[in-house]
Amino acid sequence: MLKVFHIAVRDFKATVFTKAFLIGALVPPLIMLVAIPLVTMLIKNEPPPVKGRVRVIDLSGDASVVQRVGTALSPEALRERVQTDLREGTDKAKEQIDAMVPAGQAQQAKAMMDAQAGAAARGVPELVVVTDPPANPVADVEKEKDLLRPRSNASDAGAEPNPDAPLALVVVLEHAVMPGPDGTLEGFDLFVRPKVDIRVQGLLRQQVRRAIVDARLAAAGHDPAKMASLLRLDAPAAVEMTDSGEKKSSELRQILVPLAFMILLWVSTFSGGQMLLTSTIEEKSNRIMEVLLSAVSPVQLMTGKILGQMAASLAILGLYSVLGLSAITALNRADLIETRYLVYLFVFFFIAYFTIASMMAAIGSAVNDIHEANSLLTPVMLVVTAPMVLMMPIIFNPKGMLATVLSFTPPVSPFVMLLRVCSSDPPPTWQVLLSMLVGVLTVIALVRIAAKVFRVGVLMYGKAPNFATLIRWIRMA
Amino acid sequence: MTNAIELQGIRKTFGPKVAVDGLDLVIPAGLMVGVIGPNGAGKTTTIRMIMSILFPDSGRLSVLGRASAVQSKDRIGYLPEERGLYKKMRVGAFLTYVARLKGVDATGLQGRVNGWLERVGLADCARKKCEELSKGMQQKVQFVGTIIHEPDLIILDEPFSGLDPVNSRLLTSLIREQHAAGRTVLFSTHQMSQAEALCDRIVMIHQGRKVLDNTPEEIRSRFDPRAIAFQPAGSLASGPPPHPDIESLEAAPGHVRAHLRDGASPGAVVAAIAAAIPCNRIEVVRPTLDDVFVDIVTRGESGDRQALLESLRSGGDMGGD
Repeated sequence: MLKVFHIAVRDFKATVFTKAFLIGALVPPLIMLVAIPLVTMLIKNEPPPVKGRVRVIDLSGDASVVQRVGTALSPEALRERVQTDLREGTDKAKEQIDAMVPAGQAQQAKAMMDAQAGAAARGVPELVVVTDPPANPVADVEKEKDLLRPRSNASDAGAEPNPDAPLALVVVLEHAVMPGPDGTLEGFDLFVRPKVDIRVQGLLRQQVRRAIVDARLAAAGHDPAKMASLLRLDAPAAVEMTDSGEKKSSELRQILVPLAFMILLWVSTFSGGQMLLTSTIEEKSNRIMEVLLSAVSPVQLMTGKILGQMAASLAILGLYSVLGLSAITALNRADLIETRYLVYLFVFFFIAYFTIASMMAAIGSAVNDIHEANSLLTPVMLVVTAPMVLMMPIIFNPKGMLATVLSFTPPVSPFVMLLRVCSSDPPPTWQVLLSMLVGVLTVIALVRIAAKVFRVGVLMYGKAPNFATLIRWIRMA
Repeated sequence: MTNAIELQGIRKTFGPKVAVDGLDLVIPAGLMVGVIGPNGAGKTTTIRMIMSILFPDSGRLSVLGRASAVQSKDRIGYLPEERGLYKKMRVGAFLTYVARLKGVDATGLQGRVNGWLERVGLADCARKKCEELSKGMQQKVQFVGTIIHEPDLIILDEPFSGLDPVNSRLLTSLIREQHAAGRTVLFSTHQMSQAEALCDRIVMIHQGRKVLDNTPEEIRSRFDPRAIAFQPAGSLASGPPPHPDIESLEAAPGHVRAHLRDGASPGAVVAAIAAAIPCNRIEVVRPTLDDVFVDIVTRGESGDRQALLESLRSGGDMGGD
């Protein structure tokens, strides 16, 4: 039908060649491209340079404790600690990358992490440890704590503390190293002046803790260095034994692949449905319907509009698929995507699109403006957003009762079945075909109903329709 | 001569409301026909059924020799009462789109669109968006869209509503031109003067039924209320009327109105009055279509006949139905 084609072309052009569409379709991926490096840059793990004195008061009387704390807080020890921590964190992240991206291809990402680690290491605080001379009697803890306070002078309230005041006060408690008479061990107290960076505080806590633990080990006759090496053990990622070989099992893959496909399907079909709704309402509220109906029949008009917006929808789907595929190819993990996933994506796209489009066309033709559409849209949206809400239970249990039943339940069947086929435990072929059949039958029924509503609705102006009105129109037509 | 439109016993109901009730209408090809009627008479419903936008519950209709307008849509130009434009679309693109939908070939279409825009004084508007045009300009664009595919049958629902006198005159001449080119034109209107001046035939629909279907001349003569107005030079002497055909005499501001019996001859009565009473002025009162329209609408109704008449004479638009 040539006329249907003309309508489809106009609708496609009117939708796609607008600033709103280009911005709506292109900006989200662009934001991701720009935002990810930008955010990583901004949240670089670099604490502000901190300089200051740390007062250590030892109440335990163990000679080695003060010395160990001093060593632990020395610039070299601090730098080493920061780097070790970062390396461990980075290694964990690298492991995740390795699961998604094969060795060799992740160099860039890893280099970025290393650079970040280097930047972080530069921010190591410079601390000077101040201890009591061994001969001196124990200082007054309360007095030392007071020194950390900002000046309590009213005119000076909120001002920076005295620059000569110490940064922190470490009090090693009496039974920190040797147990008390009842056999319990104590630890230490840490006091800091206000507004000390939380990472510096963490570093202080960790280092003092380690120093005290080492002192305890030494006191018990162990070699702290040896103990540390004995305690170091990495837990490796599980290796999946597949027919084609061994591959590292990845939770990410199990979740990410079905999730990505499902969101792709959802976003493309819903933006198509939304555009169809707006364009139908526009034609109705601008009183263009009857002009068009003098040239074409309502069914031709509806068909043309649905096909035109389908082309716009496919443009979005195509764009995002290409972006996604090129990203995943750039990471050299195209093996995550099987060709059949793409075939399923497009098959279920058509089923899902026509399901949603026929509902949107019916609603758009019935209402006078977009506000009236909301009351009819709400129940529809509640139903079709169900797969988004239930995504996680379905992904984790793709053969469970919930997943199986929903994958045959219109109108959500295409979304749920796509989740299932892309999962690591796909359903048997007969179920996939049955779901497609259910989808196609649903589409046929919905398109027929929509055509009836459309035929009556496009010329109806006045009272806002409800579902009862729609049912009356279906009977009328 | 073949018939452009034939309706036989067309009936259409919306729920309990009967919109069109057993309407018969034959419109021969090449005629210009005006459809008049009060609000809610069923004009738009009838037109929509002719256009196969609505379907009658019962009755038979044929348009351009086919059983349904669907089969001859490309030969019909239809300007609906509810008409609009795509706000964001450019005028030229809109007209091209409408023409393509009507099956016009793409070759030479651009020239045709520009030619028409020039004719209606919108030559510089082809690249403008429809929302930038004034209401009158939009109406002209819509009219061009109606006839751009050179249809054999042109149906215009309230084509004059909302037009200023200048554009109204332009539209009248454009419609005349289409008629002169041998096309059948059917339009509905509230403005009796337009229908009287333009139409070969006038059809009046009231409460879903056809109550009039004739030439303007015949309608006027048939509904001639046969009154004679005269202005006596002196005071009017009381006594029997000067002619037996005079039913009653009625004093009106500035003149006296003599109502005639059915079948009376106005000429004889004028002569008798002139002979009996010295007059400054004497004339036969010609009914206008407004009178006919109001007469039929208010017959058997308790509506305010005079107010309706006044509103029609002042050219007030009564809106759509």
